[in-house]
Amino acid sequence: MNDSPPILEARGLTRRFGDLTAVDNLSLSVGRGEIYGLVGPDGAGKSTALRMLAGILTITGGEAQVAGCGLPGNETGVKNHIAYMSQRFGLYPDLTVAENVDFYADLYGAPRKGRQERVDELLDFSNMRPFRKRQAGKLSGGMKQKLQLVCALIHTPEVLLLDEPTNGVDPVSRRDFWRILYRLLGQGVAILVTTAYLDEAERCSRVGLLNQGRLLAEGTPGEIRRSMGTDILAVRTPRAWEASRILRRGLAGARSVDVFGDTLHVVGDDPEALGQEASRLLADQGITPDSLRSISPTLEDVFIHTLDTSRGPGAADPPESAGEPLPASSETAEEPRSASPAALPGPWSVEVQDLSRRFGDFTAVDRVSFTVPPGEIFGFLGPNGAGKSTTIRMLCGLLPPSSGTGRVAGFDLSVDPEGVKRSIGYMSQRFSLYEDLTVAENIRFYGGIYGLSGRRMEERQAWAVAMAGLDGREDDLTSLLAGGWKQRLALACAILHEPPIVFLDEPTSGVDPLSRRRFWDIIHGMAGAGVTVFVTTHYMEEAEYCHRVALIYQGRIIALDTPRRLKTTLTEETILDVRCPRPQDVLDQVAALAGVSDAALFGAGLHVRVNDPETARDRIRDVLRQHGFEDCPMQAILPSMEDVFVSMIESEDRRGGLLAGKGA
Amino acid sequence: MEGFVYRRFAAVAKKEFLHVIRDWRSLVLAIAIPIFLISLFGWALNMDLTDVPTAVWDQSRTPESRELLSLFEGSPYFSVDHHVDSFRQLRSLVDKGSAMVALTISSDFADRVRAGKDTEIQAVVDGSDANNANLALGYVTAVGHIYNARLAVAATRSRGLGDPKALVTLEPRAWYNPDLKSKNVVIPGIIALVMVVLAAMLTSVTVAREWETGTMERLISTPIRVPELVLGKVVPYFVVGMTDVAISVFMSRFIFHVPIRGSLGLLFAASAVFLAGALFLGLFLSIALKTQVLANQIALFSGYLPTLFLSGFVFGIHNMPQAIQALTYVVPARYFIAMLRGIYLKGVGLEVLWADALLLALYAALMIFLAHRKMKLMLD
Repeated sequence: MNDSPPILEARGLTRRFGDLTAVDNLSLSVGRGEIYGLVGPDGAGKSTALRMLAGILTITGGEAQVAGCGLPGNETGVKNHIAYMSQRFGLYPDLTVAENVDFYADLYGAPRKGRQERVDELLDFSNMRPFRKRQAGKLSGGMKQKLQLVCALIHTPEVLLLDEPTNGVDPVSRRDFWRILYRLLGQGVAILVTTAYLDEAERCSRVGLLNQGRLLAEGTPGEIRRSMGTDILAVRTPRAWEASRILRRGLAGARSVDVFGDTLHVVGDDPEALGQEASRLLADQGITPDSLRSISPTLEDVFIHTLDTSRGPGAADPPESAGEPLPASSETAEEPRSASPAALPGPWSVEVQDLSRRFGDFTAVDRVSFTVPPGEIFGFLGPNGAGKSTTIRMLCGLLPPSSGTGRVAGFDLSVDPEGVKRSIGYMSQRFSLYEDLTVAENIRFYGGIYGLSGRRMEERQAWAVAMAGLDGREDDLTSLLAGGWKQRLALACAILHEPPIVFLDEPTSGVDPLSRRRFWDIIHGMAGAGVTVFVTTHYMEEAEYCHRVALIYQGRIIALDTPRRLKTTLTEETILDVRCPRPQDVLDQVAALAGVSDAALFGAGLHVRVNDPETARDRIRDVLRQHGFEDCPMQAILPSMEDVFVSMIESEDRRGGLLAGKGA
Repeated sequence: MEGFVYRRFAAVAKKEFLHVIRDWRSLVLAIAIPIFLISLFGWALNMDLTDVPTAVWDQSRTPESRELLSLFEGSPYFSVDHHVDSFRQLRSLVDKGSAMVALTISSDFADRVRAGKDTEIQAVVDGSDANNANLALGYVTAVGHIYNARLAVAATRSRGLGDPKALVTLEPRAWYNPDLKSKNVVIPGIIALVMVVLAAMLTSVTVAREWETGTMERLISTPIRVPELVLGKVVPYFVVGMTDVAISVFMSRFIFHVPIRGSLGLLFAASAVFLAGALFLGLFLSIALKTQVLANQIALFSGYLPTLFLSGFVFGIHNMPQAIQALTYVVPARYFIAMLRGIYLKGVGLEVLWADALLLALYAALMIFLAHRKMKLMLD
């Protein structure tokens, strides 16, 4: 917490659009050097609140003080002291990095003298200096976001308003991004950020949970976690989805059972008793959990719990019903190889040998080989621009391979791409719905494309509406739906024809945690029914929901295994989880210690990668002591998927650097 | 509140310049359009009629009839291509469109002329192309008059009265365009057309594009003010537009040889004012409509059609019905074309054209005002 007077303060801020109240009597304050995270489901009013505070949206009621300027009234004054980043890419794609930065420097009146030094410093710090002359439109997603931040920082704003700045950004770029934010805090900047990543919210000084325009909870991440009043039972097992179904059905006294990666979180009044009952239930079904203990809740637990209770029974989006409308029973065992095989020739749904795709001199996909059995959820991870989307487009028959062979659903990619297209469902990053058509019109359109008609069309339409949770909203315009519903409708439209293989390209990008969770329930239901699911994602905890994961980098697959085996065998080093009050203060020092190969902010602490845990522990403790942090909990943990991802990419970079060094 | 900050204005102008340069296809188009339009209108929209294909059925075949025909043959306006022997042949030539004028000279032509009696020759004109038919009829009538005059002179001489003295001859002279070349009238007008087409193409998308791509949301969160944004956005397109004026003037002078009798300075000044009005109209539409396609369509529609039809460029305003004539007063191109013709053909200056110049300036000022008024630095 920060004792200085707030530099941003909203009192009773309200905004109505017609009948809809987007932001309802919102009061919050942010002090200098503080970062305030605003989280909430889609349509909660986060962006609207930010826009009002940026002075670009008329305030219906209430008032705000931003950097000493009053709103409504002094919008001009506010704009001199803030920087605002909207969700959309706000820079000019046909201008180079340097030209964009220069344009904003002029707009903000940054002095010409000393400007070059400041620009260089910012570009260096965000690892973007080599790209000064590149056009902004040709940067990867992560670099675009960093460039937007650089443009916002050129005049050293007093208040920074960021609307989901790391949406769709890979973990490596996200780390860079947060590093810059923390440095700003040290300079006394106040930051208000909205985010869909709850591990990011854990890093904020304070967090506000917004729903339907109102603040449901507010406080430091610690305060919010404690607000739940009870510990949570954490059950770790590789068969998490199967276990979650068993416990949801049979565990009396559990208020909710949610899957977090390979761990189940069970909320109830008495975690001890729940634990005993849960292990008995699971043992009956032949599942022995790796661990079963009670933990303090994470922010995401509280988030989901608070939203569930605030919605109450009969709400429009009951998470428990997810997956039920699917055609086949969800009783099917979850292990992919034991799943009932769909009617496919041969043992593999997807079979790829040395598949490559070149665009001119650039090799987007470089001799990729793998096989996927029916009923498997196959995850594709990698930084922006690694070649994920190109691979998926080839597998969907949308892009011919430059070389190599592949068979999807028994059809050869090069010989019969039309056959491939008939037997797959494809959902792209941008939900390909027609916004000016109603829900039912969209479904009927896609049904028509897939050749459905008559009775079958009616059946599938009813099924799709139920799956997307849109009963009674068939005649609503698609543009009126919030992100989560749109996403499920897009999925429903992609699988209307019941394809044996489904390709999902970042299907959960920009969707709030609750909707994401419901979406994964559906995916697991589909896999249980024998459908092969191919999915790309930037959310590392989602990678843990996959049966197998391929890590793709610079067009090549650098690792392919189950999430568990990736975590245990592929990193030779140990990850130390360090919990301390202000991890950003010690980050640089810890990272520079001998024996530490990497340190990163992770949730409310640090993940430190070390060779020898024992000596490193002492060194880290010394650093913490210098900052007055005593007795910080520190333990060796199994790495998270994010740790694996970042460490593998870095070791790949080192190897690449070595080769390049030899070649020079 | 703070005033106009030059550096922010310059930053916007520079950014727009970069857009123009990076989008080289639009830039090439912006240079090609004036060249294309001037060539098209300069060569294709030729409203002069020469070498009218003419068929003759000369039943008389006498020196008198041959003298009459020689008048047609010697004229640049007629090309006597066909000599036939029956009305049926004559008719089929006109039907096929091979002849536009069909002359029939009766067998008693020479006798009646010698006897000094009234004589008729029949001239049939293909009226399916009314404009040209009118012109052709005029030519035929003129030839008839010349022949009559010759007969009269010959008659007086033959009576021994010497040369006639008091014969009135009308000497028509077209001022400003002595050869009545239509290109001298059309080509200056094209400058106006080029500019409205360009302005529609250039500025109508600039603001709408920023709304569509989402850059506007970022832009309005900076300290930028309306005049800096609006004026900065127009600068590069103004430069492109004036380059096009220079290309048009150059082509009209050196390729189509249209003389410029008045002040070249006034010509460019008037063009600058008209261009400003057209550019700010495009910008206003872009601000108001917020979508590129719609703004572009409406800008083209509201600029191109009135300039083509209601400005006096192609169709004379005097021949229009009263209601339409009233409408032409709100078409800025009307005043600009009046100024262009004044400068190009009459060589007059502001002492005559001040009213047109004033109205053009008023129009430009109105558009600048509207664009500023409409531009809001808010999302709603």
